[in-house]
Amino acid sequence: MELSNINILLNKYFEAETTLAEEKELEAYFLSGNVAPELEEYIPLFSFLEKERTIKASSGIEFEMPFKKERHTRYTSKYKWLSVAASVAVICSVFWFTQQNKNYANKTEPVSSEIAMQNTQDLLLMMTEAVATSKEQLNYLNQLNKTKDKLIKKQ
Amino acid sequence: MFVTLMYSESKTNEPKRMNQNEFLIFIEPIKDKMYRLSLRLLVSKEAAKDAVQEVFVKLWNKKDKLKDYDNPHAFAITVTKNHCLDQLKLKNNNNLSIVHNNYEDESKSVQKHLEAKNELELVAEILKGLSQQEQTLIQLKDVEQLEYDEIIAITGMKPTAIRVALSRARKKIRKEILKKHHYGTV
Repeated sequence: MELSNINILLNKYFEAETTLAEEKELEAYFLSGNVAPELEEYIPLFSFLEKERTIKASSGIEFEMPFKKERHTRYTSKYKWLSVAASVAVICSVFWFTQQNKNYANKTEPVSSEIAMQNTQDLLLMMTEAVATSKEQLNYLNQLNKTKDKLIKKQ
Repeated sequence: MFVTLMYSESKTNEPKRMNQNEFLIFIEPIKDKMYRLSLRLLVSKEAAKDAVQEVFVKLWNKKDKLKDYDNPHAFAITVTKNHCLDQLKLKNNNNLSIVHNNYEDESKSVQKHLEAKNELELVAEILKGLSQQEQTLIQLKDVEQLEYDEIIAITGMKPTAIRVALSRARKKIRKEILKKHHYGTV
């Protein structure tokens, strides 16, 4: 930008007649690093203003919000509900899993009741036979007793 | 879909009340401006931080009325400005004479050390010499680059009064800068 133009803007600036756009133009000129020597003394002013604008409260300063405590309890209650939901989910999943397992076990033996009845009857018959034969075996014990009695009577 | 439905429902039920989240969103774009203005007026970082902290409390207490203001952000800056000026008044009332004595001493030592300081610190020193009103205006207009109508809303001053005071402040700065500049070169 032309030097005469800058001088005009600068004079307007000190009369507080510049618009915001013109002030930004001035600042851009003085921060450009390409300033006419006779205007160099104004560089610190504009770089100071620009530097001040970049100060951030957010960096390094932690403000306490007036409602911090309230907020805290809100969060804990949220977590409480979260834990309740989690435990319900665990219980449900265990229940569902066992149920699923049961179904699976049932499905592997799709037995009709007739065959089941037949099988159990067979099983029971086999058992009675086994008991009968084992009972017959026991008769030999009686024989043992008889011979013992004979011997004792003889003495 | 369900969430948006719930949201709009709660919105229509309580249109005026500001919740914590909305308050944080409201504060976010202006908290740095509030801090910088406090820093300009109160100088110390600690005091500026405390001031902003207290202004947050004041604003939170007024949260239900905040949305009724034409420009709530400008209102927040106004509260900040007034709070800082109150703090300065309190300080001055408490130890006026002592402060004055200290000031004399300090200005002499400042004068001595000015050469050693860099040019930006020199501008900061010059600004400290301005009146509170002038400092506020420079801060709002030249640092924050606010529009005149915003500054009118914040300060409650008339446009012409703002321009006159701002021009006076800028010319004072120019005078000091030129003085220091010529002193340095000669």
